[in-house]
Amino acid sequence: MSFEIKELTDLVEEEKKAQERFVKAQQEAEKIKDDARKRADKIIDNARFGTYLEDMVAKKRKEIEGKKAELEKKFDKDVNDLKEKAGKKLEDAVSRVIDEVMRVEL
Amino acid sequence: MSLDNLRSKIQTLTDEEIREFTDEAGEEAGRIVEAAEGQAESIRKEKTRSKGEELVVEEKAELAKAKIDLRKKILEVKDECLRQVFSEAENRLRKIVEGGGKGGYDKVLANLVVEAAARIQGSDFVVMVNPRDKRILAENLQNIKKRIAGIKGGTVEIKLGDQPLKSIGGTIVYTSNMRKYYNNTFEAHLMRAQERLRGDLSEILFGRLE
Repeated sequence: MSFEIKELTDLVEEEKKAQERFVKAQQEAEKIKDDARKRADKIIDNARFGTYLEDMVAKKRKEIEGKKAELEKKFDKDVNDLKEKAGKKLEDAVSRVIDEVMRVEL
Repeated sequence: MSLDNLRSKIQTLTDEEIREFTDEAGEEAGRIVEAAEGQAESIRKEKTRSKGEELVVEEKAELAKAKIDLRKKILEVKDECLRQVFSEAENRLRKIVEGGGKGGYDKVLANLVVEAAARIQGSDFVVMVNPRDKRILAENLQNIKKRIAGIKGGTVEIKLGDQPLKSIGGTIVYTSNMRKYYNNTFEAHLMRAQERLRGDLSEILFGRLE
């Protein structure tokens, strides 16, 4: 195998370029891993300090308020029913009291 | 091997090596992110679990408190209805006593005096009534005296007190030495009725099932 000087020089140049590409690619690979680490840190930070808990609490509190409002609605209806019922029976109740007040045990 | 072959060989080997560690870097990046996601999921699960338990407790407490407040409101409404009954009853009693003998109040008053005297020991009594009732009683006093004597089984003395009683109606009967007395006014009856009739009136007003 015999080469001209020029050819050898080209070959060395080619090898040098390959080396440069290799180093650059290595740097890019490192960057990919660094980016992944940064992303991982963000994911974990988000889990630790993210607003999802606040969102969950807000959602639950809203649900509780809804249930309370429903309860109040039901009780308001009960109160109205009660007042209506008592209004109709007021006369009977008054008569019962009058009978009791007038009652004498001899 | 020709120079071109050597050149090509250099490129191929370089490409292969680059691809190899680029792939490795990609895979490792994937593993890093995947592990982080796993860890994040565990953190989230733990946090949401404990917060969730906290919220369930909060929900139970809030709803229990709301129910207590609302039940209190219902009790207040019931009390208000009962107050209304007694207020109306008092108005009705005032009308009855104003009617005097027409509404049968004279008989009721006589019975109240007899009952009061029967409930205290002694044979000498002072009857206190309001000025209007004094006029009603004066007419029936002898009859009342006889009835009390019948119950006591002996002679009794009875007289109307001088001090006017502030009352809707009814009487307070004292022994003549003023040591013992029995309050048989309508006010006292109303007070007793409030205690005694609470259950009955609730049933009349609101029914058995509330």
